[in-house]
Amino acid sequence: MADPLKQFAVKPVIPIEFGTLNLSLTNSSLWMLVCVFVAVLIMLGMARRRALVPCRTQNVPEIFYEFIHAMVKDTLGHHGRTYMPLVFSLFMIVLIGNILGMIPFGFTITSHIVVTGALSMLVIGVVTVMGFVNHGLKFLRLFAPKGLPLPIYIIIIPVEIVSYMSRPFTLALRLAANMTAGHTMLKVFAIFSIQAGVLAGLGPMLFNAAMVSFEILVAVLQAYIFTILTCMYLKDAVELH
Amino acid sequence: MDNEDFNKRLADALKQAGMNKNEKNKEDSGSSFAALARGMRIGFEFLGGIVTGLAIGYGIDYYAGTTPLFLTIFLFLGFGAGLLNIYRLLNNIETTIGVNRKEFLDVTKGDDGGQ
Repeated sequence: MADPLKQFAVKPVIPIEFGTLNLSLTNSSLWMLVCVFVAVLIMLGMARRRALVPCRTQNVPEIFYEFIHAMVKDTLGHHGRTYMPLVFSLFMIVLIGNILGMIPFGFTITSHIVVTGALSMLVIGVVTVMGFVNHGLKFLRLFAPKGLPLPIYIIIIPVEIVSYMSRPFTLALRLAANMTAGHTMLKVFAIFSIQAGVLAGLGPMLFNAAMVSFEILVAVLQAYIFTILTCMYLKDAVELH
Repeated sequence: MDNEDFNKRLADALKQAGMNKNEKNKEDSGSSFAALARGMRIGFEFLGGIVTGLAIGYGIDYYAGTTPLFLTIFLFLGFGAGLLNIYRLLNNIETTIGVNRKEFLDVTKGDDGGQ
């Protein structure tokens, strides 16, 4: 029987080894390159002609851009423009990474916690560094909300610190777990339908057909969640309450 | 007078038919996606708090050699952090930490009159 988790295995495509250093081009890194390539291709479609009346290749990236631009403007305000490139690239990479995983024989790069973890550490790193750059040590006031009775601070400050540290965890875990769970479920039902034969296998197959469309929704939704949470976390770095 | 009356009746009729192009309608169509996103976040916000607490506690214990002590303390702190995350998410205070004091007061004003 096929292993439903086998699809997430990282395999070297072009083995490259320097002594003990393994620098092989794996299927994961290959699909990351494809992801970046597709993102650049889509954006070039927008930048190629810049017509006043957009054609399809220009319309799609413009929708993405305006969507993210509105999100950044709503959450971060006027100063948020600085973070627009970061937020937009994160959105495009996560979205395209999720969607490419839906293509048959594709590899879902965002199903690996190493990838999503790196992205979320980047976000939290930017928030922490920019928070201290913008506010100095006043940024630490984030952990002590004003106007509480004094004894409460003994509990609330550690809780706030743990809550802050839980951000990269949840950000990475949510995306990776959602993608892994969805793809595993698709594979499990595909195995059912192969094992059940032609007639009985039709049930799981129809279920899978519905699940594929649901997975596309999840792919877009998780990219949206990742981006909006990035904006919300960046809000702390931009304006301190 | 007549014109004003007509505009009012037109707005009412459009509202009744659900066709008014005011902000409320636009918000409704946009917010179902946002509400779905918020719903899918809740479980992980709670889980994330506990997992983080466990990880920190285990890490401190691992290096300090005080095995169950910090694990227990940070498990409870993580539990608290998870609950705090959910509480803020549900209160539409859209940052998980660092209470926006003004919004926080606006939300809680109905409950206990704020501070």
